Order: sequence, then structure tokens, then C-alpha cells
Amino acid sequence: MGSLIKKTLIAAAAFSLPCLALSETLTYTENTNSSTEAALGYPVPLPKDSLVAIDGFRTYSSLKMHHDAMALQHAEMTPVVVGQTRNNRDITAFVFGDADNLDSEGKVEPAFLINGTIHAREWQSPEVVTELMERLIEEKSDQGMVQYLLENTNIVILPVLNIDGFLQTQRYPNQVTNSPGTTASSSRLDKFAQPRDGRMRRKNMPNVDEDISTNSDRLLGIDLNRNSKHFFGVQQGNNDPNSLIYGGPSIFSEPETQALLEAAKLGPENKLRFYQDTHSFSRVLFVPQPNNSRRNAITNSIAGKFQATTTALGANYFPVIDQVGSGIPTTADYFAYEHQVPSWTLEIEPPQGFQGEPDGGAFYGGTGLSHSGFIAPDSAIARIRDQLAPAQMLMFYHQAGPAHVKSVRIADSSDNTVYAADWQTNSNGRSLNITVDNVLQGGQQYKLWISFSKPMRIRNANGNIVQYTGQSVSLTPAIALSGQSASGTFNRSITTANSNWQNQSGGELSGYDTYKDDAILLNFTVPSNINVSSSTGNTNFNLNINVQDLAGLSLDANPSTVVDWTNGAWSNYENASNQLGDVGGTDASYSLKVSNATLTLNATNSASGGGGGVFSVLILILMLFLCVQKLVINNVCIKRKI
Amino acid sequence: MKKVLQVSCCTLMIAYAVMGSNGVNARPLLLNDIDPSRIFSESQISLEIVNIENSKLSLQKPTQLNDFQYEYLLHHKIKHINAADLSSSEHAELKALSSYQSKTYRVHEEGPLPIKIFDIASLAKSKLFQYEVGQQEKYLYEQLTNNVNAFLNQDFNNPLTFLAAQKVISNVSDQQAKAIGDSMITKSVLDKNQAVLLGQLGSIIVQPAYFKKALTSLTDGAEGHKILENMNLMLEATDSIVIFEELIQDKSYLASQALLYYSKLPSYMHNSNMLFNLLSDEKLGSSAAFVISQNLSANNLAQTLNIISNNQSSRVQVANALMTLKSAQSITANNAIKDLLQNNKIPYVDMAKEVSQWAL
Repeated sequence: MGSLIKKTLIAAAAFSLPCLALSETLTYTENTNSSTEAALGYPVPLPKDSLVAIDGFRTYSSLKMHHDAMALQHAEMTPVVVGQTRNNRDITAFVFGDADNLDSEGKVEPAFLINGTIHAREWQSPEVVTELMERLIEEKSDQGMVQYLLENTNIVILPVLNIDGFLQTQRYPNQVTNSPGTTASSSRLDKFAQPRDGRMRRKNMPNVDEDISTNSDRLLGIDLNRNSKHFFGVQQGNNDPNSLIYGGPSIFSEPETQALLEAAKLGPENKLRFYQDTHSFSRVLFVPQPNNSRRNAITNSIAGKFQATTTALGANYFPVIDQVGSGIPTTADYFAYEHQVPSWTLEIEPPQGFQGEPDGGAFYGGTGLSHSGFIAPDSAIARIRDQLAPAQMLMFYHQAGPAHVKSVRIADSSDNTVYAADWQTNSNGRSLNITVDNVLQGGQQYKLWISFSKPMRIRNANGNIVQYTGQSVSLTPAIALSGQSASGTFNRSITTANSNWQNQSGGELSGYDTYKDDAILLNFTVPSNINVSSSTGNTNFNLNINVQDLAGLSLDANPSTVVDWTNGAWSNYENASNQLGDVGGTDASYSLKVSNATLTLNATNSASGGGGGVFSVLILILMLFLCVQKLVINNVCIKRKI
Repeated sequence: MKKVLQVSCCTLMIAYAVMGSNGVNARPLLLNDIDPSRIFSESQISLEIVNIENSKLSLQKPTQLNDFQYEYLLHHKIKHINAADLSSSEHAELKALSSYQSKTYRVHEEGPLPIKIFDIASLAKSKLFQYEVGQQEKYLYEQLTNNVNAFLNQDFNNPLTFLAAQKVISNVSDQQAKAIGDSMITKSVLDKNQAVLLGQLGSIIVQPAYFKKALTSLTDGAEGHKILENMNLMLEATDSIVIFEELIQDKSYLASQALLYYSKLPSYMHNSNMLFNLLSDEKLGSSAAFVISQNLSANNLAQTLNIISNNQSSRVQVANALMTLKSAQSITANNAIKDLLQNNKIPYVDMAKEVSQWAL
């Protein structure tokens, strides 16, 4: 009952506050407060013309020209006009990758979609997205992570979706109009508690002129992040054309949101594995949770990795995990629910609500003016760009999929190849093609070279293997020989070190394969103390390989089936027991022949397990020792008797 | 809306789990941390404000106020405190309010995060900071009035001192500005904040030498962009072109911005050789292309076309030459592009494909 009265009062109040009077304009200043001015506490950023990244925010025309010039210069970046805005401006998405959309095995590449500037006033967004584009181009020939992504994935980036709105905010970079329901004659009322239009325009611009003083249209427009299919219209305000979160007359009614769908098709849609909508502010990830536990577990895990990377760079982007099945009609919810891909709304800094850290503009020493978080100072944006690019890049790397072993080579001390195996693609998946399968000798040293399907490590400026920023994965590969001996199973680790990773070219048995640090090269000795029952014939040794990539994903334990993304989780991703799931494990597909003549003959057939050979030898020595001791004692006794 | 956005205990647990797995301790306040009665919708906020407006509520009678009313009135009061002239009681009150814990929230538009409606603590801190800057400003002004060198010997790397110095400089006479600037400009090396102050002085008394020294001393920072913008507005073309060209040729971090201002100078002043040479620069090539495009004379057009068809040209040069034609947005340039396409004169297939999609 109480709530009904409250609602009636609210409705009455809203009705009694018509927007008939003239709109009023407020100007943001650095330090001056007055009836028409409000101090931010730091210089108000004004957009600058520059075709390179600057310590500040760039104009839309500069960003557009920069994007177009990069695309023309670099074959790896292709512009595609995916639609037009309400005011007929071309919306361009950029596709990063090679021309064929096929990975190194000829399969259709996985795709990622990054959207920017859906909300006009969130100037951090186009800068952060443009930084990502710049890095993909600047590092395209790194022979490592970025080159791998460009050659094996399809990255679609739409830097500015709400162009009309963004231009409006840049047209009036320090001016806003009054809150809904207030007029120039409103006296003590806080007229600018909910500033709209000008610098604080959020929505698109249908039937809205570009003149900030026009009162009749300043509240209009559709919130492009409420115009999606799932949860359409569920929020209070979604159906009110004057509301900040008006969802529009129907699902995907807006040309801008239709353009986003077109951008997704560039993936294509059925190959999407990650979506991010880039907003500001709050320094969090809003992470939708459809009713799909595997998809949610993967999403939440990578959100944690995203957070760890940004935290290591000085900004804790905290994942706020939605309640399962609940949501609002955002584009992040759309891609989460419709395509079952990891998806989130990235809210760029300043932070909000973190203990010990000021909110919004106060984070930069500002006054904490309402909505000031949308106006980060010029001096902050370069740092923000740098803090976010590595985390986004890591998401691409992770969602490109787990690595698998590509090739195994073993050579003897004369560099003769004694074992060669390669996974080859066929119509059903992959098959292991073994071209050399000679007999190895126990006690002999060999070179082992294993290549993987993606770069597995990164290095610091000194060339040392390091963790990817903020991550904590097992850097050292676990490689072992195992098998069945006459005395039971055995398992012998092969010692590995970071120095085994290859960042020099050279290919098999010499350097990296396709990308830096996609291969390891090490020396090992085939153990001879494996019990065999006969000195003729061979014993099979399994080579077991377990490595995490730099995002912490373990190997696909069974490369014969190709990993893909299906219904919100990995498909054909097996663990060491050949069970499907999302964790992977040890690949033990490689069987080496070792001559029994070089192994330890043991007629007793003891049933000891791993390490049993050593144990048997120790027992043998002990028995020998006891016998000798007995003999010595007997001798002493005999001598005494004598 | 609350129902849709409400966060369950399970959500909080997941949030903590994510934190724990990464060793990250700090987390924001989540919706579930807040009593629902403290969360206000936008329409509730409007209604509350209207009610306050229409009543005679006062901070003097806090017991008659609900949390919203109290915070609204408190915020309003602090906002109107003159930070330049704080009384000791105001100072004490602001200090106490610097750690004020807000009690009223609204919901973040995009997800389940509460947002303070009135950030009283931040506003109080800001007022105190403004007061401190004001005090420092008074001190620095005294220094300046007594002795320019005493002013110049201050530690401008101290943020408070630097902010106060900027305020002092914005109010100095032309004579004082010249005295400070002339003294600064003789220094062989200026640190960043000194350079910013010198650039500010350049804007006050419109001194090309000050701008030049300031801009060529700066290697990063937002202030350089602002100084360059001011210089572009204030100096005569004959003065500014020298500085633009120095920044461009030095490939300063301000070079692209300088090139775009340079494009607005009369074309006869442009150094064509410099611009065409820059077309091969991966960073600045597109900016140079834009400058050339704004004054695409017959000579420049011929030179641009020559770059495109010359097989000695690098990929970057060809791309930027094409950008020159595109940015010119003229019939002549568009016809030249059509001719290049029709006669297969664009040496790179991907570029030709992209150019063929341009709306000409």
C-alpha cells in the first residue's frame, strides 16, 4: 500500500513538472562555481585534433581519420561500413586479421567483437578502444602474441557506434542542460543533478537538432544500450522517451544497434567467443550470467584474469557478477544470452564505491561533482589506455582457445632424428603423422623439441621469460616419460627450464616453430633403469606433455579432435583421461620405442610402481651387503676358533 | 528495476571468489551491501528534491530530516562555502566531513552498483584543498611581490605549490609576467612544471619565445597540448609557423597536433618538402597528408600521384598519398582517385580494394 502511494506521488510529481520552460545551460569550469557554472576541480578537457594518441581526448574527426589511415596503411586492418547513424553518418567497424578468415590449419577463425562509444558522453571509451586498435597494428609483426592473433583469429572492433551523440558532446564539451523536470525558474532545486544533452548526452539523436538551447528535444533519443532483445523494456524508464534509459519503440529499432549486429556478422556471429561493450565509468566489469554454468565459469574466470592484469598495472577492474538469469537490455546481455559467449560491460575508470578511493571526478582530485566521472581529465587518459590494452589482448589470446601440440622431434647426439610426429589436419580433425620412429637407447642423451599451436610464453625487455602481466600460471612445462615395465608402471620426469623456450628462429630441433616461444627444446637422457623381462625387443615409453599457456589454459590433451566453442563452452577439449570439459591436461599421444638391451634386465618381475627400478636395485645392494657381512662375521668366528 | 538489478548473496560470494583467486583485496560497494531503503530511483530523487524545495527544512533541525534531506542540505551548504576564506569552524567542519559516509544511493545505470547521490566527503576534501592552494597562493604572491627570484626558487614539483603558482601567474601584471618569463627563459633546461608555467606566461603577454621554449622543453603531459592550442590562437602566423615546424621536425609528442594547426596556415607558408617527406612516416604521415590535402595545388597533386605510381614508394607513403587525395574532398582529387582505380595504378591490391569502396 505504502509503495502504491509512493508511486502515485512520483507520477504526480512527474506530471506536474512539464518541460515547457526554456532549458538552462550549465558550464563546467575548473574552479568557478556560480548559478551557471560548476567546478570540476581540474581543467575541463576539450577535444584536440591529433592523428596520434595524445595526453588528452581526440576529436571524432581526428579519431576517424586516424582509423581510416591506419586501415589503409595496414593490410591487417580492414574497414567495413556496417550501417549509418540516425543522422546518416557511416558507422565503420574494423576487422583485424589476415585476408582469409582461416587459421593456420584452414579452419574458420574464432572471432571477438569490441564495441565502443555506445554512450556519447563516455569519452574514455573511444580512446581505450583506439589504443587497442593501435597496439594490434604496432605489434603486428611481433612474431608473438599479436601476430598469432592476427593470423588465427578475427577481431572486429567498432570504435564509435553512437557517432551523432558523440559529436554532440564534443560540440559542447563543457556545457550541459538541466535535469528533467526542472526549468530556468526552478530556484533552489538542484537543477543539474541529472544533467542532460551537450557534454552529458548519452543517447542517440533521432529528431534531435544539434543546438543545445533547443529545449523540446534535449531529453530525446534512445539509449542504444537498452535497445537489445533480451530483457527489453524491463526497467522503469525503458518505455519513457524522456528517460536516460529509454529503450526505443521496439527491439533493435535503431540503425546504430542494427549496425552493431552487422558488425557481429563480420565475425561471423557463430564464431564469436568474446564480446565487450566499452563504457565509463566505475572501474568494474558488469558480467551477465545466463543460465549456463560452463559459460559462466569460463566468463568469470577470464574476468578474474582481466582484473589481475589491470590490477598489476595499477587499476583494479573488479568483476561485478550478475545474478544468474537476471539482466537488463544491454548489448553485453544480448551477446551473453543470444550467443552464449563471455561478454561484459567494461566500465572504465574513475572508480566508484571502492573503499579508500574517491569516487568519480574526486578520484583525480576534483570536487566530486555529480557525473564528473564521465569527464576524466586529459592527464589521465594515456595511463588509462595503457592499463587496459594488455588485459583486453589477454582475453583475445585466451578465447583463441587452448594450445595443442603440433609437432614432436627427438634427435640423437649426432643430430639424427629418431622420432618425428606431426598432427595433421584432415576432414575429421587431426591425425598424428609419425614419419620417423626409430628405437631409442636407454642411458643415451637426446634432444627433444616440441612445438605448440600458439606462442606459449612472453619475455621482458631483458629477454627473460616472465608471467603475462598480473597472471600466475605454471611457467615450467611438465614433461615425463611413462610406461609399463616388467616391474609395473614407471614415470620419470624430464627436467625442464624457462631457458628451454625458443625465441630464436630455426624451426625443428633448433628454434621456435611459427611464433616466438611456441616451442621448447631440451636435452634429456632416456632412463636405463627400467626393468624389463627380456634383453631383446623394445619397451614403449609414452611421452607426456603438460603445459599451460600464458593465460593459464592447459593443453588440449587429445589434439585429434579440434577444440571449438559450442553452446557457451569449449568443445572437443579433453583432459588427460580423455574426458571432455573446459580444463584440458596432459597430452600422452606419443609412444617411443626403447631397446630392452639398454634397459635393466629383471627376472623377478617385482610389482613395484613408479621408481620401482631404483628400489629393487637398493634391495639388491642391501642383500649383497648382508651376505658379505655374514661372510665376514663367519670368517672372524672361524679365525677366533682357530 | 531493483528486483532486476538486485545482487544475491551468491553474487557476493562469486565476487569474493574472483577477488580471492587473484589476491585482490579491494572491491567496490555492491548493491547487496546497502539497505534497500537507502536506494533511490531517479523519480524518487526528483520527488525528494521537490519536497525539499517546497518545505522549510533546515540543517538546524537535523532530527526532523530524513537521510536524503540531510545529505541534500549538507551538500548544498558545503557547495556554497567560500574556500578562499574559511573560518576556523568551517575548516573544522570540512575536516570532519572529509570522512563522511554517505547514506543515500542510486543504482548505476548499467549494473548492480550503488552510487552515492551526494558525495559530501569528496566535496569537503576539495574545499579544504582549494583552501590550502589559496593559502599557498597568498604566500607565493608575497614572494613574487618582494623578489622574483624568491618566487622562481620555489619547488614547483610540489603539486600544491605548482597549482598555487599557476593561480598566481594567472593574476600577475604584464610587467611581473615579463620579469618571471625573462628569468625562466634564460635557463638552459626547464623541468616540466617550469615549462608549463612559462607557457602560461606566454599566453598572458603573448611572447613567441616563451611558447617556443615551453613547448620544446616538454616531452609529455596534457599541458603541452593546451599551451599549443593557446599559442595557435594567439600568435601571428609568421611566429607560430616557426614553432610548429620545429615541433614537427623534432617529432615532438605535440607534432601531429602542430601539423593540424599548420594545415590552417596559408599554403604559401607551407614547407612542401617537409610535408612530402613526412608521408613516409608511420606516425606523422597521415597528419602530413591532411595538411597537403587542405591546399592541394596542381604541383602537390602531381607529386602525390607520382608517389602512388612510383614503384620505389613505400607502402606507408602510398597509403598516405591516397589519404591526401581522400581528405582533399575535391572533384579534382576524386577524379584522380577514379583514374588510379580504373588504370590499376595503386600498387597494393588490398589498398586498391579499400579505395574502391570510398564514396567519391
